[in-house]
Amino acid sequence: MIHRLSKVFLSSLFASTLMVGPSFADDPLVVVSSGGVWLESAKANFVSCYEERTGEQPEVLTINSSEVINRLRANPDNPPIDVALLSEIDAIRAGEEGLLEKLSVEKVPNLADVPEVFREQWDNYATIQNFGAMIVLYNKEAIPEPPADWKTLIDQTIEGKYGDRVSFPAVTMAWGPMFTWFLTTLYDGDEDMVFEKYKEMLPNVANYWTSPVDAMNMFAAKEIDILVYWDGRAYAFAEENDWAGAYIPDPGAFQSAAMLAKVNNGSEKAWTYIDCVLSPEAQLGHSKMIKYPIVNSKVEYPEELAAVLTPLEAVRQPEFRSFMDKIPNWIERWNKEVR
Amino acid sequence: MTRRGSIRQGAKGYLLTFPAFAFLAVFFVGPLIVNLLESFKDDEGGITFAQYARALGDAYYLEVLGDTIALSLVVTIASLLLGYPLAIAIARSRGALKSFLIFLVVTPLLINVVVRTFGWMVIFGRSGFLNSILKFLELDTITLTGTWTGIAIAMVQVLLPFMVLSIASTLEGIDGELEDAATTLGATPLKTIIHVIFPLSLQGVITGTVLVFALSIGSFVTVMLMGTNSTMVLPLLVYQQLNLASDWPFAAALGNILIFVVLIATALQLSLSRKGARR
Repeated sequence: MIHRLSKVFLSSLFASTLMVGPSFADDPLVVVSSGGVWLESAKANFVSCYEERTGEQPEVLTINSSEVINRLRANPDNPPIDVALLSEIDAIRAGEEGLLEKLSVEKVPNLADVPEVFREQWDNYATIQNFGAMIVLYNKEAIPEPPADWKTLIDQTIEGKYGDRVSFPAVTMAWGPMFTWFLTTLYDGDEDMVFEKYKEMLPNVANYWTSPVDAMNMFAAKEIDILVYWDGRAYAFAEENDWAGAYIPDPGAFQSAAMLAKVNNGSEKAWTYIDCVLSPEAQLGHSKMIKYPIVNSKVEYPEELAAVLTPLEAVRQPEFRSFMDKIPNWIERWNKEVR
Repeated sequence: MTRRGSIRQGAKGYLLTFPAFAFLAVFFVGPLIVNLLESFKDDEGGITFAQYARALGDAYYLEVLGDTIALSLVVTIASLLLGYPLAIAIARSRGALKSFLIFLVVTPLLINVVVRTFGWMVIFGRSGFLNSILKFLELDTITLTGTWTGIAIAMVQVLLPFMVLSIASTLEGIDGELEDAATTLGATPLKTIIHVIFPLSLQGVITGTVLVFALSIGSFVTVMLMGTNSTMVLPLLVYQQLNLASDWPFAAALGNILIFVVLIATALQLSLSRKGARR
């Protein structure tokens, strides 16, 4: 009897092993998208193009960048994702760790229309799909004349000019380290000065936000008057609400981007999907839906769309390799000092 | 049944538990071992205790560990104080009322933790529901977001069901005649609860306490959304190290310290259970 039970158990174990075995060539392409309107746009613009070209439907995962890279690290030989969407730093790390395959015009013809600046820091292991900037969203009724530049905004916050009705991103927010790098560029590369400013602002900020949804909710509820936030959503909010305004303080803003990449050992069909994402039609459709600039140089924005997009000239692309190794130290300093 | 037959019967029983043990070995013990090895790994692939020295030799991390334990203790005690009367009410009610009370208790578990936490943020916000009522009553407004109090309230709400259901199931097993006997012998209702009901329900209290403590010490979403840098807990540090700093060895070491604390709590529970059983 025991012998029979063992046989049943081993058979079940074998069967279940087969069920979780390696993926096969006819498996659907697995791609990644952000959620919400980004997912809607991915389906409307990228997936539809891919379906048209291949007659197949890809599986779209909505997971964040760290989850993507962790899944790739766990299964580098048999990755569960074919097309990754990563943060800038994760894309650099993934490329260095051999988790991504280099993009080329031969495999992705539309890449020819994507300027080098959108992929050279990533050594062609990934390309920017769309980008944005962190700008200032403010309450026009409470603050008729907002500060023209970042340093004045910071100093006036420290002075308490806005009460505690200001919110900046935290260093521990996903793009917080990039914002910190941007601030260091304003203070001649002096990190200590930046952390000192963070500390001095603390009594006069409502919070340093980590959740974009909560930050926007606070602004919408008029609990704060100044919010440092993503341009696309800030402009969209200002467009819908007369009392709100959005602008880029001098000397501009830092570029933040979604990085598109072909996973190493993933399906070859991924090239078709990436080519779709970078096609002028899909890029324009994507930009119209998410209200962020895209990277295909052939795209011409309609006037009303161009008015709410941060121009490339106004953003500065972070020099990721100059600070990515400092991030653990920045997080530790942030946790210990700014509280 | 012969002795040989009895052994065979016992062996069959153990064999049936094998799938569960195999599952736990692969999906629970396996990752724990990987985590343990990761925490001792240095840059060159050798063995080092540096991550533990960093975590346990730094006043900041010790403070966060202390705060994490303190928050879990407060949440556990608050859940016990609020949950015990509720458990008595459930144990003593019958029919539709009982189902309704259980439904009320379990409802928080049906709502996603992020959605539930945003709900609390709406209630506790500067112009939130709570402060609107206080303003309407012409009272001073209060700040609960970003405070330990606000976080503890939100956590008690979700962890209360674990305490209530653990205690209620034990209370239901207590013979009602014992209570009658205590009353007949002159005990007041309060004395009956303190000297008769509570000692008999100790097993449920201990189970609920350990469950709530273990769940509370490992949770970070509520703290991440509602807290600030001054309300830091160890699981949130683990999350930061994994997702932002990409420092896996240190994250693993912090995670192992957390597991060690929970193991101590569980050992304490076993010890209390044995003492309770001896009485």
